[in-house]
Amino acid sequence: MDPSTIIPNYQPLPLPAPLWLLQTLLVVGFFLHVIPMNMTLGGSILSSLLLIKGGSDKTSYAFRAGKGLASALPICISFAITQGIVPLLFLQLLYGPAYYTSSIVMAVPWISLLGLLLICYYGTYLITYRVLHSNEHAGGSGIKAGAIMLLVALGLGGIGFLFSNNMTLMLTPEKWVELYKSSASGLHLNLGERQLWPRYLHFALSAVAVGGLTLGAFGLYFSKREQEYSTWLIKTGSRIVAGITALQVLVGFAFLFALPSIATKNFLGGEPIGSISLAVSVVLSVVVLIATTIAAITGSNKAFVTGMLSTIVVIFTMIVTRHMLRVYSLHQHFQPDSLPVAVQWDILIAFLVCAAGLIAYLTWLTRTVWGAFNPPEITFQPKAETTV
Amino acid sequence: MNYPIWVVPIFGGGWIIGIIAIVHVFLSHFAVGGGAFLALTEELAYRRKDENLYAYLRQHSRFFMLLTSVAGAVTGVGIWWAISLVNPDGTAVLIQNFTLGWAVEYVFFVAELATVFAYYYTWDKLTKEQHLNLARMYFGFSVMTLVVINGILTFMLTPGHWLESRYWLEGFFNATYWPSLVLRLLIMFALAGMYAMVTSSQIKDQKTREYVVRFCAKWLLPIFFIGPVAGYFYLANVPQAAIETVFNGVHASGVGNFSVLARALYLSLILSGTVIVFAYIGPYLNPRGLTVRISILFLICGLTVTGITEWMRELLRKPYVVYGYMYCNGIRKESVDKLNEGGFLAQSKWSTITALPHGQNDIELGRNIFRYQCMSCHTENGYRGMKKLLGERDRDAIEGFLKTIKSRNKENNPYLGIMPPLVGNDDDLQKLASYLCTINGHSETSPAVSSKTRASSQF
Repeated sequence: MDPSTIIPNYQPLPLPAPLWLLQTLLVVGFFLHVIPMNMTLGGSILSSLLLIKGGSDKTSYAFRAGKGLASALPICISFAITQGIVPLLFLQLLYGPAYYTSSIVMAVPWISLLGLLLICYYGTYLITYRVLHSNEHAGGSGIKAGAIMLLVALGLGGIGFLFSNNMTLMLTPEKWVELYKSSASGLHLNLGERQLWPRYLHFALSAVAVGGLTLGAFGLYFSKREQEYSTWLIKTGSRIVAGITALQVLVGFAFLFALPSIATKNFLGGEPIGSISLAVSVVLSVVVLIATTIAAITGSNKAFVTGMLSTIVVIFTMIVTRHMLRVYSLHQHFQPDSLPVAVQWDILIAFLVCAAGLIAYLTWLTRTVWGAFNPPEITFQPKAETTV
Repeated sequence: MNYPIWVVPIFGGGWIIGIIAIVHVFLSHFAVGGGAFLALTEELAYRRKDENLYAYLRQHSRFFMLLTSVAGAVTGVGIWWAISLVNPDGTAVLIQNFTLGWAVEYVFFVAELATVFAYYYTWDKLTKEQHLNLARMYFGFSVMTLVVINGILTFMLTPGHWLESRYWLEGFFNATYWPSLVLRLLIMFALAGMYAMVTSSQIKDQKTREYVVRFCAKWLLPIFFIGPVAGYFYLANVPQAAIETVFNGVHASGVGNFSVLARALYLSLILSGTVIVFAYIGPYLNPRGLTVRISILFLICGLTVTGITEWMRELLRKPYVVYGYMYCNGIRKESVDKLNEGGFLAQSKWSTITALPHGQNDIELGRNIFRYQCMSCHTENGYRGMKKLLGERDRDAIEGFLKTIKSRNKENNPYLGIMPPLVGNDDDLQKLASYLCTINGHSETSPAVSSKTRASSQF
């Protein structure tokens, strides 16, 4: 069946801002979502392993690091959800007809995701308040907390898998009709998709790498307080990032060649934005690999910071690459550039002013909270809930 | 017609939205009202230099953070999930019109969440003045999220001049915006008091417990005095047709003049009044007697009132999802003539894809018309199930009924205030009738039902 006959129409209303701005907000919004989302997924996996490794020895570095990651998770999840609003909003605006349709085709697993998220979210609080910080479970709390965290990590990984299913299904309108005809109750996944598994693996591995970066960042925090622990954190975090980055080369190529041939061609020189973003990603990945390998061997702060900043840039360029894949895949059926534009100047200006105000407020708030936990003339006495 | 339909048996898709929305409203209203409660209670603790009150606030703020930042946030996103699955066309209208409004709400939401975490994690870390300021700022940000989302929610019922101008601001600051804002704030304060009863009933120090419990009860007072006035202004600005639906019912289907909407309204008012009276007699006059169980009972009553009121607000908007612009089944009002002329099936993208290659096509296509035009409110054999509603109607009676609901003349179609008109040509109508006949198991040759049966059947 020709999919063009069933492609839903946009509503006959104009776009509220120029397309380039909306696409920029979509990409930047997803970037701001991916950082805490990766910290959440990667952090839960690493926290689980470290807590189990630390076991009942609460003074071990592994336990302390696992506990630190676990304590940070509730806030990471919260920001992952909040920052997810932006890309979801602009995705609906620009590619709503594709996103809504694929969501309906896999409605049941898609909406179940919310329950899974709620369980995982409360699971992290359970670990923080009831297991790690409860005296009643003093003995063996690392293993118990690690085991529960493993379940949380599996749940979060499941959520990522459902997202990968929907985000690939929305790119393939030719599949929608057959799936819907076989069941209108929304019981499908997109398991037959070639790019699904390499794409999911690529994203999940990058989450573990960001988890490693978070460990290293903890190391930077401790560098003036506990040098040995700091070095251990930086070396451990860097080892994880370096190992994952090396593995990503293989997975990345598998992903690239699992794409439809036209997309692969576009990324390999056929289209400038996608080709440049992919090339920058590959080059910077080499920088990440070298810098984190040095940091893993020497424990150097500078090398780690170089690796961390490069990784953040790689994440951004990979998001641009991902966006271009969506553009290539949907271009035949969806052209948001065909929609009329009537700029809502008043609310656009209000949004930009509010966004600038938010950045200023968050900067002030971070300084205030930082100052509260690091009073200038008092020896650092960390409280259990907030320490690493 | 534009999208595939997600078939949710027994409950129908509407309840997927309803359940998530009711829970979210109950939590998100606490998130705003509870912010005011934190700020004012901490102000009291600060002025009285009351360490017991501070100790209570520490406990309460954990409860507050765990409930609002987790379940509140997830169900908030969940509403987007649900509405996009059940009514993608309606969702697209809101998104395309209010993207930047939602973007502004997001900014305040981020500030709100960052502040609640900073507030909770900095007990005893900041000076008392700094900490109190965080509570005040939290309340300010949370109110701003309401200020934004209230415009989008009320737009759906009273889009006003937006219908002509398509200018977002005219849809946003609409006729019910201000009364709705005041009403929601009052509900938020009342809910904050009810939630705080749960935590205050567990305070160990008796003197503090009595003080806080009585203080909580006072939070229900504003809605008692100002609520009726705001409610009057709200209803005064609701479209007249919707008001008629509330108080007169749907003449042909209601039981006398006592419609389901009016019953919901009265039930909501009676239950609200009961909660307020019991809050006065119980926690206010006898704060020692408040136990955790009683406070949870208050919350359950609060949830019930929230559920009824939200359900009523949704029903008030029927037959539209955006009043006067798009019907609740996703069909735009301006498209009706075109669809009647050229046929619904002929102009629908998804409604013919499940047609069978041989035989029984009429029934299958009729089923699709049912899915697209009726299933936003009805199911086959569950909530508002067609099997029960059709009763013993035979084909002639069903066709007669379909012709009635196809009319856009209110005198001929008494259902027009609550149901979208049936859209399509005669061929579509025949196919829908063929399908409906299979639901109640009536063969096409069955004897016509008596006029008495027809009159008593309710849609």
